[in-house]
Order: sequence, then C-alpha cells, then structure tokens
Amino acid sequence: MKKEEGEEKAKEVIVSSDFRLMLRLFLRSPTSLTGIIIVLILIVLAIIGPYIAPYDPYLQNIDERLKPPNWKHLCGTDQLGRDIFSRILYGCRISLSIAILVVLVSTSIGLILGLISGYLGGIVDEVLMRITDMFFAFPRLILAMAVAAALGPGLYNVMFSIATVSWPVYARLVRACVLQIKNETYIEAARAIGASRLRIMFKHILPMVIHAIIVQSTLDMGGVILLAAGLGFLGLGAPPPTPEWGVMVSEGRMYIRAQWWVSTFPGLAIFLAALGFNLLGDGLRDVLDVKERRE
Amino acid sequence: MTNYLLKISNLVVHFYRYEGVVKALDGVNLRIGYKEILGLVGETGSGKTVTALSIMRLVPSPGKIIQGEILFEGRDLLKLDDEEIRKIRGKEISMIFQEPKAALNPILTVGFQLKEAIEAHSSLSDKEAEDIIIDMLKKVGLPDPRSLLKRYPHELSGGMAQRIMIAMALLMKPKLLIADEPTSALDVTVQAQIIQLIRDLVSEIGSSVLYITHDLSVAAELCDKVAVMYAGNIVEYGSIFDIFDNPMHPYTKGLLAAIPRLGHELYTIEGEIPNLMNPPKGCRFHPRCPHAMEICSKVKPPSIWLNRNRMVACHLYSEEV
Repeated sequence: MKKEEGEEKAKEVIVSSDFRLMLRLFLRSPTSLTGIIIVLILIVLAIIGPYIAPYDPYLQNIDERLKPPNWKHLCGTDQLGRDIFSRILYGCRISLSIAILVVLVSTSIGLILGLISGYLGGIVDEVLMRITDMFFAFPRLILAMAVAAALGPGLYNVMFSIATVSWPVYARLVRACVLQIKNETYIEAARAIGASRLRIMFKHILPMVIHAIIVQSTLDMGGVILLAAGLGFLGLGAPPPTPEWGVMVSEGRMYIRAQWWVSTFPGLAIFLAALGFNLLGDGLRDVLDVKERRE
Repeated sequence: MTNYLLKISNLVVHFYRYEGVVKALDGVNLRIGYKEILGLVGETGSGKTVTALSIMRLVPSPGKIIQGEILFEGRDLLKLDDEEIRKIRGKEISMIFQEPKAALNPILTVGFQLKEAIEAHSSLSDKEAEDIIIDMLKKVGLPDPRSLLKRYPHELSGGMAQRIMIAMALLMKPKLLIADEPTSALDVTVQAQIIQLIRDLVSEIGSSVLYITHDLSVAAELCDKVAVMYAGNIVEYGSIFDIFDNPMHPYTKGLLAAIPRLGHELYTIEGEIPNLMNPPKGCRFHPRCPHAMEICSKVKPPSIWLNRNRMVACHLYSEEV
C-alpha cells in the first residue's frame, strides 16, 4: 500500500517535470491561451509602448479637449486635450511595473517567513501567524489605503503599501505547503545525514513550494493592478499628471455622462490586464497542480 | 563501562496526542558494542523505530523524550545542542530508512543528495566529494555510477534506491549505522543481496549496526546479538544463538514459534499488541502470556541479567538470580 503510494508520487513527478507535456496541456485550454495572449500583449506594450505612442502623454492641447474617439485620437482626448490612447500605452508600463515589483517583493517576504514559520513551528510560527492574522483582519484595500494615505501619494509609496498588505497571503500559502512536506521521509532522511535547517528549508523544501507560489503570484498580479488603480482612483496613488490608469478613470468621472470615453478606455485597460493575469494564473494552476489534473 | 559504543538507559518517550498520551517507550535499555550488529526485533508498533529516531534525536512531534540517557562514546546525545547533534547525524551515526524511494527527495538528483551528505560535514571540493561518492557507489554494487549521479529518484528501482541510501549512509564512515527495516519494502531476491551488502560494508568500515526488523530470520542471518522488543520494553536480550536455541521470555518463544514452517500449522500469539495510551499494568505482555502469574499484572518485571550478555525481563526468572 505504502509502496504503491510512493510509486504514484514518483509518477506525478515525472509528469510534472515534463515541460512539453505541460505546455501542450496549457495551450489546449482556450482560456489559458487567451490569458497568455493578453499578458504577452501587455508586456510587449509595456516595453515598446512609449516608442509607438502617437502623442506625448503629458502634452496638453486645449483646442482638442474632450474629443470623441476618431482616427486622429483612437481613444479620444481628455479634459486637457491629452491623447488617451498614448496615455494608456504609457500607463501600461506603470501598471505592470507596479504589479511585478509588488509581487516580487511580497512573494519574497512571504516565502521566507512562510518557510521559517512552517519549518520551525512552535513559538516562531505562532508569532508570525498571529501577525498575518492582524493583516487578514482588515480588508486589503482599506489597509492599503491607510498605508498609502500615511505615506502620501507617489508611485513607490503605492508599491510599498500594496506589498505591505500582500505578503501575508504568501506566508500562509508557503507555510501550508511546508507543513505538508516537512513530515515526508526524505526530509527526515535529509536531517538524518546532518543537513542543516537552512539547507533543508531552501534546498529541499523551497523547490517543492515554488509551483504554488507561481500560480498564486500570477493570480495576484491582476489583483495588484486593480488595487493600484483603486488607490490611484481615490487619489492615494500616483499624483495626477502621471498616466496611471486609475488616476485617468478618476479624472474622467466628471465627464462620464457626456464624454464616456475619458474613463471607459483606461477602465477597459484595467479590466483586460486583470482578466489576462487571472486567466493565465488559472491556466497555470491547472497544469502545475498535479492533484487537479488527474481528472 | 566505556566498552560499549552506544548505551541507552531507561529511555522513556511519550507522544502527546490529542486523544491522550501514548507511552511509546517505557524505560528502554540497550547496548551496542564496537563492531557489533544488534538486531532489534518486535512487532509493528512495539517502539523499534521510535528507539532508532531517539538515538538520532529525530523523534517527530508530538513525541517527546521524557527521560533517559543515550551515551554514545561516553557523550549523552540527549544533552547535546542542535548544532552538536547535527554534526553527529550522518557523520558518526547514520540511518537507512524503510522506504528507500520515499527517503530520496523526488525533485533533486541522486548526485546532489549524495553530495549533501558530504557537504554537511566537510569542506571537500566538488571533485573530491564526487570521487568519494563514485567510489562508494561502486562498493554498493551500482553499475555506471557516474551517470547515476544525474538521475532522479523516480528513475531508480527500489533495490537501486536502497543501495544509494546505503552508500549515502556510509559515505562518512559512521561508527553506528541504524537500519530501519531496510529490506521490508524490497523483493525477497533483492533482500538477501542488501543484507549481504550491509554485512560486508560495515565489516570493512568497522561500524556497529542497529538493525531493526520484524523478521527473525533476517536477524538470524545478520546479527551478533538480538534484543526483543514488546510494547515499548526490551523483554529479552542475548546473542543470536541464545535467543534462537534457548529463548526465555514467553513473548520470544511465541515469536519463534510463529515463524512459518512447511507442514506445520501457523502458530499465532493470542491477542494483539496493547493500546499504548492505556497499557496493561505490570508486565505489558501479561494479558497475552500463557504463563501469566498474579504478580505479572501488578509489578513491572525487572531486567534480570543472567550474565553480561543475557537479559530477560520476566517474573518467571525472578528466583534464578
């Protein structure tokens, strides 16, 4: 019975290590495909956007203000006559860098704390987990707002405030994985040959939790983009001239009845970015999480 | 009394479970001499593995070592701090596990894991470490060791994996090797090879072995001495010949009688191993013992040493001392 279990596990690993099979499974699903296409487009636009943008995103042109979408201005112009399409292209770089930096920072913090908490257990675990509980006690947006408000507007402050509220999810996730893995015989065997705690945590356990982290952080990217836009909308994010999507939606809300395009296009950009990352994350979960794939 | 490599005295281990306290080890006494192979025999759940893990200080939570002393070359392992015991694990005492394939991390190469056993204890260069590893892999009889280093555990058979575990355990030439039923997950044909291999290698290195098994015939083939364990106690200890030719404890007699023989009906010991959350008073074996006396249910039998190498814990022999 036990032996069979071991073999079953070994088979799972063979399957999950087969990159080509994973790629095929991934591309077979239309939603994952949509997700990866949207995300790839976003990344490309973030890189080349400023070079292909038809106008300077800060250039004001009062004669052309609040023009509806036309061939000259694909998404129309805003209240100061700035080209909305160009601003969205520039905003892409801002939103993506916020998302990537925030996710990198919060996964690193969450990963390290989760490993320590799960592997060491005891009082360390108690203290760390009670701290994460404190973060979970508040809604994410409210807490991020409080931190952002305390720090004042600015892109780096936005990133900091979102990272502050994002890491506990990762710490919890990693801890849960570690608790599962740390009682495996091979961890016991590693301890029995005299491997140190740090070594076991980072060389033996970390590679086993990385897939869960990848899925969670991809799913989280969309959430971070939304959160950053939300803070921008509330005036707690990037300061106004910045072509940040949330700020743009906020600036257009006075004209929403007559000049719908001012808010709608940046809003669509936010929607597409969040959707793309969520679809990608779902797709990744389907191929990386072996337990679900078996059906 | 330093002529023993390992001397365990009065080791008590409890597991604090939600449902209650499991008294897994109830005052275990054990000695292993230099270059001696001691078989630890008993049913599943008798505490053999817990004894082994206690020596390595790897008793999993919620288990706790309550009292006792484990003297290894005169040092009490239970008093060492984490770093000191880490230095002993794998270098002076190493362990082979029951499920060789489960004991290898599935996502790391065999070579990485073998190298780890060396890196944990010395600062040899990669090249030197690799030479030692390849040399050892040859000794455990694995063909083409160099290509083996790059393989992953799922590519190995159970027998190969166990050979690798043995190689890993012996890399640092430990003074004590603990083998926890290393052959019970393997085919019978491979079993004999592995036993032979362990015997040859430890005699070459000069290690002592604590060989845990539930199979008396395996013990007979390999061991110099045997300790019989029942429900957290060592009930009988002696040389392999003493135990087989002249078993004293009723439980040992039962175990020997239970070895299947062609043409004989299978013998079973009545009853089953007691629930260690609420073990029987006195001798833990008395509810199943055909010779149980009144005293057996009241007083825990003392360890009676008939001579330096022979011990039995049973009231039947109280008068003989």
